[in-house]
Amino acid sequence: MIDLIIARQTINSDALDAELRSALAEKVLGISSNGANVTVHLDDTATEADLLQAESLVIAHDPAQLTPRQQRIETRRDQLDTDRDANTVPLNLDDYLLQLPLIRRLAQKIAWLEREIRDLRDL
Amino acid sequence: MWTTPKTNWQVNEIVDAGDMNAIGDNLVALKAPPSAQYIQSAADYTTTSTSFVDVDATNMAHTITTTGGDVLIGCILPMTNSLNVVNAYFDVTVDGVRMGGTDGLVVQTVPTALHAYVVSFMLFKTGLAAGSHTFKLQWKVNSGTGRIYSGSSATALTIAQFLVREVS
Repeated sequence: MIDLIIARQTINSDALDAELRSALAEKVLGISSNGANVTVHLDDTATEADLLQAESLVIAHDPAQLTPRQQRIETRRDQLDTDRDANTVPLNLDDYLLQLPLIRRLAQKIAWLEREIRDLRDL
Repeated sequence: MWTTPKTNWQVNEIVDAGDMNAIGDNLVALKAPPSAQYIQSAADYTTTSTSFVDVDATNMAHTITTTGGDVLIGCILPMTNSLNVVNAYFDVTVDGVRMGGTDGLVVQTVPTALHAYVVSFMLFKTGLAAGSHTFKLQWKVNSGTGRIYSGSSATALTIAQFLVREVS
């Protein structure tokens, strides 16, 4: 194994790992960091040109760039925050008094689920 | 410095200064056996490596000079991973040779990326000859970014520790 150590404090580990694997494929075994340096772990077939390319990728790496998975998670969190802001008031069962029994039963179920979720979230 | 105790005392044999000093030296050696530890609380460690690599080749690595006894190895590692339901594997090298098998000594499955899990283990390394020996903590993951919390927590309660100590 070849360890390439580069001074770099902040990284997006998932993203940098994906960038390196995209460029150097299976020659990349992974990366490690300790808050001061990034170590790129390469297999023994890595050439001098591979090391230079890995180094330039680490230096050019933008930790603010998210992976597609991180973007999906962020979008999901944003959507959840929006939904929570829009639903701060618990379901009022009185609003359903004139509805069909099946609808009233459904509203009771949703109100119960709301209470369970609030309890789980300690709200 | 530990000296093998004299066990063949004879009746009326005179105890001299050398004998007493050897006993005194052994008590000193027992009070402070060869040991080393490191506590990291300044910055997290991360890895995406799918092969075993050093957690910290400088600090999570200890060299002690033993007198031929067993060495107790221990660590405490609060950790997580950026993905759900992935594994982190831990091992210790002694003089450059990993103690564990393909997947090391200890595996921790991280069920969710939201929560931290504490990996801790202790074990004896037996059969070491007297002399200088180097112990290094290693790890790998099968996917995602493994993170050992050791500095990122606002509560400063998350520390990573690795220790070795000759105990016999």
